[in-house]
Amino acid sequence: MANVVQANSDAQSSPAPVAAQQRVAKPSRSGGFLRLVARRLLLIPISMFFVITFSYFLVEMMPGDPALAIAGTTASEREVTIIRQQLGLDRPFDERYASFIAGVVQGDFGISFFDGQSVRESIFRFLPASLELMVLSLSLAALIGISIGAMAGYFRRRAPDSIARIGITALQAVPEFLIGLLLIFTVFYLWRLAPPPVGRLGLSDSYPDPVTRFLFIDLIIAGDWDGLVSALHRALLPVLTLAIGTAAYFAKVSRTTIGAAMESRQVQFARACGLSEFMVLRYALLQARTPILTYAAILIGTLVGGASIIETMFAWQGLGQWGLASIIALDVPAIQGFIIATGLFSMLVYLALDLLVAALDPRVTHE
Amino acid sequence: MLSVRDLETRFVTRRGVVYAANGVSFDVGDGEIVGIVGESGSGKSVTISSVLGLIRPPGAVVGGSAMFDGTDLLKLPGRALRHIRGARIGFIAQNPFGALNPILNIEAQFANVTRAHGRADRATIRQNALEMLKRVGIAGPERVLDGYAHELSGGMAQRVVIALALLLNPSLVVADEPTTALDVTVQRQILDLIAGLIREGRRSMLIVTHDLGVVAQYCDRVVVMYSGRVVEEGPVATVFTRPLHPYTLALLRAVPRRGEPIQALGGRVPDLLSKPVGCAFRHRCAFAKPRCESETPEIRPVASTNPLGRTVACHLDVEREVPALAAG
Repeated sequence: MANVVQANSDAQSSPAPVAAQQRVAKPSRSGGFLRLVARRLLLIPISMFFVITFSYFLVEMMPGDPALAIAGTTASEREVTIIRQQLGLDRPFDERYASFIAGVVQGDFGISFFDGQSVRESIFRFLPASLELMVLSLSLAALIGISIGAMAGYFRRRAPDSIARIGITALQAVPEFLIGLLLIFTVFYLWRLAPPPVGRLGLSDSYPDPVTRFLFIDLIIAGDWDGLVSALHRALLPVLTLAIGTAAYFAKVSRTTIGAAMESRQVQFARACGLSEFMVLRYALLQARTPILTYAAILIGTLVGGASIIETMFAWQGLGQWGLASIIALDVPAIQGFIIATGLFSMLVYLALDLLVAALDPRVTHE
Repeated sequence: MLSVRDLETRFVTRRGVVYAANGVSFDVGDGEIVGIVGESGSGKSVTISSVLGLIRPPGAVVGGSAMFDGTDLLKLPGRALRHIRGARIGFIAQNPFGALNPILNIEAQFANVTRAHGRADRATIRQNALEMLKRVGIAGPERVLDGYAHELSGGMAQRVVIALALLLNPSLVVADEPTTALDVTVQRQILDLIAGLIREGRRSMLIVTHDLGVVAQYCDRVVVMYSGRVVEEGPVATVFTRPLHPYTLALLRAVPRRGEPIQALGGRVPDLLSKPVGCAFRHRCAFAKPRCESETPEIRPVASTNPLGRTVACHLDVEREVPALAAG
């Protein structure tokens, strides 16, 4: 694990002559860093085993019978039994668990109960859209949120801070779908500044060849600039909706951390040395960087697959929308695949965060 | 060099207004080292922060002046004051690990201080930094410059802070308890170093401390503060041998001496939440009179010692009563 080295206290036993003794201990950073990466990578399979098991038991314990759900209320007892057999639900519990694990290890999450598609295929089909939405809205949210937070932290306990605090609290109290509805009502319905929220491309636009499956990138590859403009225009409202809600969290955490950093002795010394207020704020931001990055990582983990309502509202066709639909339909393999995919994604994001923090902070050693 | 008059600083807190400095006045002459002493909460640090313009909301300097080379620091706009701080007035912080930036390497911090006060190219900055680090007694300045604060020992880190404070050759240095965060074994070295650099460069220094030994050894004059006020000021030699204020007397008596029982000063520093009326020290003063209750003693020159520039804020006839009490 990464440790923060405590500042050594002076322990010169005999009073040194005029020149203080050199006590510069430099651990080799690059070698340790690779070892840190390796160790953290090894932890992922272990953690994933728990996620996989958890996903299996969670779905297993869910109320409702998938066979019944598929057959519908008018089906006869016999029909339901047949469906159950087809799905393999009649096999004993341990047998199903073992074959599930065996499948997952090989990257096989099974076949959806409903559309008959490979769950893995579906994940790869829906994930890029969610990633695009997440990257765009999170970047915007970070930009807005950190700016507001930095301003509030800088002017702590003064008017700009009070206004920001009220705004942050109000935004956090408003559910995202309400922000979405309000934006649809005003920007689309009243002002006609955005296209209707019915998907990522208009009816007249044609979808590009799925090279990367990232729509924006595929449009660029295809050289379809009109399509790209249309897609960006249609992304405006969902990105804005998600960004506004998320910006409040960024603003809150940066306000607290930057505000505290502004009162630190480090900033006081920077001021006493005559550094400009811009530089002083930069020092405070450097200090507040790690907590803000941590928060960003948590939000990334949450938003991929967690933006179900916004994705559904704007027919974004992302992982969250697919996951939510699967849960409502009791599509057991899809739900399990959804949990495992988002779990793995979060773990990779946290790993990236740990490595980034370790790389950015000279105090972190990699023993 | 520096002349502070009637400085008043307040903090507005949830519990009420804290009167941290209430009419503080003192002078630092050219080439003089002046010590400010007092217990925690006496307003020492607030006073120097006020002079340097480092008081942030909810605190504010509400009155007084601080003339430095003919300009009033308290009236200066932020930008102009910023150019004085770090260039003409150096600041030595209390805890080097709190003061130095842990994320930037030491060279970047020298660069930032240099560039805050003018243009300079990298080679010049590095050259000046190396030279400064050598002057504060760092043997391997290259390695220190390329390293980070946490790789240094406490004494080394404080040497780096001193180098930063003196980098642009300030005429006045303000030091806020520069050795309290350090190991006892290196405190002396650091103080000798600071005093040497001050004397050698014919600079002035204002040093805040609660260590009377430091004052006795390194300072020319001493300002004794209590509860946000100056209670006594004068040359160290005469103040310490013949204290005029009962508080100074009590402080000196509290210094442990070989073979003598320690005479601790009883009671606590009053909180500064209410605007003090009367002498703030009266609750702990063995010689308090009814007048001390109602009337705040003004700081006044002491007649017989006037050539020495001694002042005291006490209702007693300090020239007769306090020495007599000290003797008894």
